[in-house]
Amino acid sequence: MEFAYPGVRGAGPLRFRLGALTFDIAAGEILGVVGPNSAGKTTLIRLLSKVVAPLRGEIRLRGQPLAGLSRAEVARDVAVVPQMTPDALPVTVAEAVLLGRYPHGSGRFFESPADRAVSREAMAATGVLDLASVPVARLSGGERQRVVLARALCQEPQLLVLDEPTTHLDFRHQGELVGLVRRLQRRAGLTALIVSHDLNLAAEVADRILLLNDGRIERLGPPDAVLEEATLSRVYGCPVVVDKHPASRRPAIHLVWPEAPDRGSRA
Amino acid sequence: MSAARLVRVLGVLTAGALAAAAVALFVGSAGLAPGRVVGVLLGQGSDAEALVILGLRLPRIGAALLAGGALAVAGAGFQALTRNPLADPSILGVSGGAALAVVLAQLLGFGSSLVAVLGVATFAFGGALGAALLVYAIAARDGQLPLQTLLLAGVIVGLFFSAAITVVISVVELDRLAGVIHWMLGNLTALSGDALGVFLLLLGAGVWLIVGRARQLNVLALGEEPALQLGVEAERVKRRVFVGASLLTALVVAFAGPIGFVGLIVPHAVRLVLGADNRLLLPASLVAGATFLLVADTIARNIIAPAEMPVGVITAVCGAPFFVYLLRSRA
Repeated sequence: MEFAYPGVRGAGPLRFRLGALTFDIAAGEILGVVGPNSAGKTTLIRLLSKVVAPLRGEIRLRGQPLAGLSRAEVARDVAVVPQMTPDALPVTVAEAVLLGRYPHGSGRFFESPADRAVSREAMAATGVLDLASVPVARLSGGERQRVVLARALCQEPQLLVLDEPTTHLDFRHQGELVGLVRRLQRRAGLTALIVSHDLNLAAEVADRILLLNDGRIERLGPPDAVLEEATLSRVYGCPVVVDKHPASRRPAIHLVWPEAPDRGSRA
Repeated sequence: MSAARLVRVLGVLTAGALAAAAVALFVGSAGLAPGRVVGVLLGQGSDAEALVILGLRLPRIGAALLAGGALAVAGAGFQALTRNPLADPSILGVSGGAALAVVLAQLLGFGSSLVAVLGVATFAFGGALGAALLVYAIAARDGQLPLQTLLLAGVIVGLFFSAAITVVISVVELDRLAGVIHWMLGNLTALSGDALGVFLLLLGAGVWLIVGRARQLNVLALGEEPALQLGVEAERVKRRVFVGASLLTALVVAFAGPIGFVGLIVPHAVRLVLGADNRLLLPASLVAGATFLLVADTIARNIIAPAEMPVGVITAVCGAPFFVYLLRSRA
């Protein structure tokens, strides 16, 4: 998968804030995409999933320009796990997961037995098979996240895009999610793009990190190389310290919180 | 969802509709004994009896079934489109737009020929589309349709159109708009063979436009962007369902008047029992809506016999409290 999007800024009705971007994602790789607010992370997801078309340049999927593919064709290759939303559909887990089969039979009115088999596998992979007949509205945040992940796996994508996958999740569920992504990568050769504000999450799971800044690639490389104090402090515009996670030995990034001003110093 | 379940559910609902139709055939202000009704059906009744049963009651039953089915599917369609269970052709002002167009068409003096029937239906369709586009233009914010704005826009547009109708009625001599007040309340009449045929054909087209995209509507319930990312051509689906729902609304307004709340009550009740899957919800709403309006109309025909209550009054009496309940239970 290649991604090329040369210099367009502030033009057009949607005002993409993405400049010249060229990168590719290798099969079986997990690419972490990080950057400050409005660096272009969301736009990147929209471009990759053909929600919006690039004003210039092109996105290629296994050599084919995205613009020439139908939405269903794109959805068979790129699955997006959107940020969690508070409202849930009034459907069961099994029904919600089966929606992911749509791109594989968009002309059919009902899902095929093969579709059902794939969705059962996907539910098993994310550990929600036991919840199949439970209404989605009754699930916890962590469970819902795994339902949406199962739906995305149902698409049998070449590339899985996770948008802020750990927001609203507590420590245990964050850990479970990371474990799940790692298992999928190891066993099923998952290729994933994880977009997150959480630098430590990216440092932990990503093979390479793409640091976006103002619509441009600031750095692209292994976590050790990209997540440096000087670079991050400059890009985020605030002091940051980086050391090693005591357990995983991966980079651990800490914000240096501003101190309260001295009592006497207020003029 | 499987084909077998759909067939089973539709079988049960159709049996209910047939039972209601049978009852409706036997009751009426003419006060015919059941034996006489059976006699007519066997071809043994007098001319007067045959006129009541075959010329009045049967076409009226047909009109009620068609109008009820159309309204329920239109309501369910608008609900899927706006991702809002409170949407309904009358609440969204779509019926009002169609009604104004029909009043104008009557002023132009369409008769009762087949061309005229098609002409009025076309006018109504134009009015419904116009009103729906207007409501959408007023309520849409960045492609979203917030609940409050949508309902308010619908009410405002509906009020505007009913005011416009009042202006027309005030300006024109009333005899050129014979029965318009009665019609405005939503009033089923026995339709001629031609009219029933046109109604049935266009109803089929409208239902096909909506039900044919039931699976896409299920995905669209996730939201616009997730639907695009799952491969749904969202804009195309929405346009098609929008046209279908407006067409169904227009048909009912043209042939029976603006009957309210059927599109709200029926899909909601069906959803409670059968779930939100549009592949089941839409066809089931078609049959359940037909049955509901037939029952309401049978009550309307008989409750103050020999006079008739407009059926729209019955549906509004059921529907308004139901709407309040839905609005409260969402909060």
